[in-house]
Amino acid sequence: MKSNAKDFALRLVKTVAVPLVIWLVMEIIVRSATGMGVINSTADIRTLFRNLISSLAFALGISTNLNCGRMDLSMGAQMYAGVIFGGNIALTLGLGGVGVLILSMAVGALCGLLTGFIFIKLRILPMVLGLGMTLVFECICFAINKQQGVTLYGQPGVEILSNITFIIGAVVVIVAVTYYLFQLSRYGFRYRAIQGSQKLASDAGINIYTNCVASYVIAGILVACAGVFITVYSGTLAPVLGMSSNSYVFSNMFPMVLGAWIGTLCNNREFGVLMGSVGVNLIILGLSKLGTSSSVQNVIIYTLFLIFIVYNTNKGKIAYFRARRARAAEASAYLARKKQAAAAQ
Amino acid sequence: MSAASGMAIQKQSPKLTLADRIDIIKNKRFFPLAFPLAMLAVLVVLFAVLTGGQFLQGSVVKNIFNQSFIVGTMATAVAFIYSTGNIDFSVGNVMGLACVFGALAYEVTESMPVMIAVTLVGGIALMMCNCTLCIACHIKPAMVAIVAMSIYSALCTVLVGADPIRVDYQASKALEGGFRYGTFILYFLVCLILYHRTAIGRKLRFIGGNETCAVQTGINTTKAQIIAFVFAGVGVGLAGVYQTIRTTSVAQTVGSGMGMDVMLATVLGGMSIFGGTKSNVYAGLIGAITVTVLNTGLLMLGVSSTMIQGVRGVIFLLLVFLNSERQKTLPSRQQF
Repeated sequence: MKSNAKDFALRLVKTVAVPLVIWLVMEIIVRSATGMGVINSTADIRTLFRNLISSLAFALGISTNLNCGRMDLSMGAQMYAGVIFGGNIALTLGLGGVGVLILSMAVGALCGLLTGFIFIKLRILPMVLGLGMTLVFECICFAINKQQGVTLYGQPGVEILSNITFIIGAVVVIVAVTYYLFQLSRYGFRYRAIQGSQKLASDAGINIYTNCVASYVIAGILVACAGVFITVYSGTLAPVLGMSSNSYVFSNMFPMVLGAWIGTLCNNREFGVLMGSVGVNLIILGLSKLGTSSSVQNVIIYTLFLIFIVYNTNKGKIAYFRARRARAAEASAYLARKKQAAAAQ
Repeated sequence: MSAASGMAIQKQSPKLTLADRIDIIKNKRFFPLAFPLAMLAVLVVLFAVLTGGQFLQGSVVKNIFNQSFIVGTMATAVAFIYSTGNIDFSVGNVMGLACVFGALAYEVTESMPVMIAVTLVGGIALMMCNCTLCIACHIKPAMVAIVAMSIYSALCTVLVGADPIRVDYQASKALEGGFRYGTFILYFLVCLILYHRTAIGRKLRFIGGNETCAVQTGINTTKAQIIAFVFAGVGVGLAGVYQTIRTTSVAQTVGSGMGMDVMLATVLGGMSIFGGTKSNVYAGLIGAITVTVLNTGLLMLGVSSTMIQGVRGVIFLLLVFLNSERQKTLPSRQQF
């Protein structure tokens, strides 16, 4: 019992240590350059949490399908469809911020359902299907509401979505619900079995098709949720064409990959993604404080991402070389001791 | 007696269903080439009929060819990478940054040959950068592509700034004729021969089909991948040159989103983005022409550009479904 608590505490410290180290490094850099810290005011905290919730939800959405070997490139377009349709319906009905969030997530679920259904029926490669669905969803988003998308700025009742307490609550709900779904529910057990081997899971009686569609639906809900907070932050979400919506998928890969790695430290992927998102958003906030342009920020963030994936991919090799060097040092120390003993005799 | 037993065997043999017959046709060797070509021909005939022959006018055909030129060149180039089972959708941004390098070199030297050389070398160098990350650092090419497209795109913005870099209009238009057609035909023929008539192409397809098996038969996958990226680099560099001389200026958004267009064209041309034995080098070009034919035809029929994208998506999914083999379980592949 005591050992379990100690193990849990150790894992928790390891997990929290990553964003903490990132914050410390950024704090030192920003303070030495500008004389101010990364987080100075409540506005900074609000900015951090607003970006955090969108990147957390989007990163969890990407990982839902990606963990089973399905790279869904249409998630950006699903986000647009969810927010533009759901947001406009909720605003027309005067449902306020919570209504916008719920209806957007419902439309996101429908988009995920449609994509998942087409996937299991046509069985074409997920990435290829993603390209086709992106074209279709972007076209639909562009066609409705006179190509205006959705504007949440200045709408009555929407200000709750910018409320820091609401955002923190939403973060907790997202992490708790996804944790339950992927770690504790029957869907989660089946999902992980499929993640291990689709063929074995199917032979064991798991309905891989239902689970796949459910994964697409969950991903759709999560990206739509992310989209609502992105829209609230920027005020409006204008529809795009030419597969530009994919940029959201790519830009949220870093928190997802970093989060997956942190998740291995605490055996909890969802909490890992949360910490990964906190870490990446702290870097972005720090770079903004340094006054760098968004392009320079992108260069720095993606270079860090590159360094991280180089390390993550080769950590086995690094550990092997470290162990070899330690063995060599041990052997030389042994030989030196032997020589010393011989000299003493 | 023998005739009667023959009849009995014939009666006992299972009857082929329509799906079985379609599968047999799909597995024929000629199918990967014939199907996209047939679809292209059907589209051309359809639009020719619907537009009352206007679709076949010289200016329209020339415009279709010009529009599909850049994506077609890049799609031909990435066939080398795709056939090994790897995906690289950063080619659009690689081309963009190569264009920026070329345009900056032109700004300094005011020499078109220098611009062409720098764009070509830039394309090859950037693709080799991606290749090094894949081979030396063992990162999956799709992940490299995501990082590379973001970094290259940001670098384009930083290097170009708000105003596009201009290239001499007259000199560019002079190069649009013979130089462009000549270099493209030469590059395409070299790719065609290398890919379908030499050991290089066979090795690349073998790696895409079964990498473990390819390694066990003594194929050096690292060397093959380097060759694939070099040839892709040449093609991307050439596409960069064509882009610069077509627009006579290089803006900060040059090449963005083109990587996806290339992937779309490749798949539409009948090639699997996961490579293998059925890969071919001409799929990208056929796909690029098909996309342009579809866009131009629908525009001539009065369909709005927004709707064209949706129609393109539906037709794309339909063609891919018809051209691919339906798997018994769900298709998946760890790309990251």
